Amino acid sequence: MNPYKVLGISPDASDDEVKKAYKTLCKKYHPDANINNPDKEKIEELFKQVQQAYQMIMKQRTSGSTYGASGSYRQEQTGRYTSGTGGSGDFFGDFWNMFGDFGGFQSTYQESSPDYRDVVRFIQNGYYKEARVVLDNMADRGGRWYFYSAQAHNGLGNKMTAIEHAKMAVAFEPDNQNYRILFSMIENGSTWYEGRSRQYSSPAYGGGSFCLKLCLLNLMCNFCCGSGGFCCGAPYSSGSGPVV
Amino acid sequence: MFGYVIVNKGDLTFREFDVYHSYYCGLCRVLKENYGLTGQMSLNYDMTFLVLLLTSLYEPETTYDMKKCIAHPFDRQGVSINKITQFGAEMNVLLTGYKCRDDWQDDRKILKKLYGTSLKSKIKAIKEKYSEKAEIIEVCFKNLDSLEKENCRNIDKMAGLFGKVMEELFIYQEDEWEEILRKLAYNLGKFIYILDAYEDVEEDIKKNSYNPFAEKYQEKDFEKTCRIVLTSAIAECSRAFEMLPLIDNVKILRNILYSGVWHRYEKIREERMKRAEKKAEAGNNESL
Repeated sequence: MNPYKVLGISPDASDDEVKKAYKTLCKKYHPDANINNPDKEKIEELFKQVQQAYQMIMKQRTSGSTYGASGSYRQEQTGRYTSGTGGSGDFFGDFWNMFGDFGGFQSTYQESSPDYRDVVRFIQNGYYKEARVVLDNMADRGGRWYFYSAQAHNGLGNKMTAIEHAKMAVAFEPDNQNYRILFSMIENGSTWYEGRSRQYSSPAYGGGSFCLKLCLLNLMCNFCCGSGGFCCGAPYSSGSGPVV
Repeated sequence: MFGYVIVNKGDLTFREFDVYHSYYCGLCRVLKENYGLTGQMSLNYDMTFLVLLLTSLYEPETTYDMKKCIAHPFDRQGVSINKITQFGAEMNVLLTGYKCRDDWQDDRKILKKLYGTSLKSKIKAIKEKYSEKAEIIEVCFKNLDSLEKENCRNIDKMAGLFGKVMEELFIYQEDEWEEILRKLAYNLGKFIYILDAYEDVEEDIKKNSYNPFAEKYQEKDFEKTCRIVLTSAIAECSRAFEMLPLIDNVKILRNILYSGVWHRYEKIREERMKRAEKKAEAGNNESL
């Protein structure tokens, strides 16, 4: 299926244009909007195609939710990034790519233990839970264990643990460049987000609102008079001040 | 824990801020109409974000009125209400109920317990309506309770549990967006939990209350690591956000996720840095 054709847009369309096209067609082909349409079944099929097309395009354009994807997925990733999403590329794709392709890395980094070969395969294909199971069953935990554990945790979103384990790997083998590179990549994994965030002014001064805080204070005071006992802003009292 | 998911007002136009505020007011009104005073007092911006997000996704018919109210007795305010607002109000009350009970068990805040009890009957009705959600949230808070008692220091685990709570609150219906919304909400929940722990760490250490950062706080790269972990969570949340077909009010939503959520964090950093500078100065003066 050519998803761009289904949505009636050019492959160069921006993310916003993709979304607008999707929404327009969704409204047109929605089952609720076509109850009395004699071509109901055809419309339903078109509706499904529109959903699939959108999902396909957005998956291709963003870095997606899995790291360490397979070769073909990596190929799509190196295709293009639009300004709307600005993905950082798939994380482990970049990492493993540094050492040549899939097979290249494995051939220069000989895994003597069959257990670690399984772990490497799981991680490269995004099966982090499975990698964790193998890792957690290992008694011997040196630099290499922490190196792979960090990657598995990072893939699962356990960032704090990933950082700790990457640090441990470096501590075990300070001269190991791979470990240092991994540590650096885990620490800098969200640069695309930081780039977008920097386009805004400092939130320290822009956030919250004097007027809204006044408004809430007003609200609380008014409740005070009626309900006595709920004043002192009790439900709002927390480290972060009023619920703004 | 509430009030982190807000706008960076400085980067919105007046019109955009009015739209954002109108959803806040809409939520307030629905809370008042359905859950009375106690419900109204549970109003927070995090659920306003939920309403705005789901409204942008599902584009329900929305009424917009100009109204006066207790908090705005002189000027009419824009009030936006739709069926998502109703859902937001229910989730708002549900979460507040659990949060109050949680705080009671933590710190014996008597007023919170009273607050929780007065909402109890209203929460019961919501729990029955959303029994699956309520069960999952209940289990998550129970797990958080027991892990706190064990002094759990695994921030990923703790934050992940709160993330699961947020997931349940963000799913309005079972559809093709459920997976992405879960990812968005899960990571937003993690961000909120971690930021809450980060904000409260000094006070919790003083009061000897539970805080997963109690020991890490003493480490020299605590600030740097915290920032990385927070950024990672909100980045994953934003990545999921960008997958959603959102057109309306997307500028406001992006303002929140890329900037507004950092407001409290930046303020806390500033305060801590100022205090550290003062301390260093005082130390220098003494030695002189």
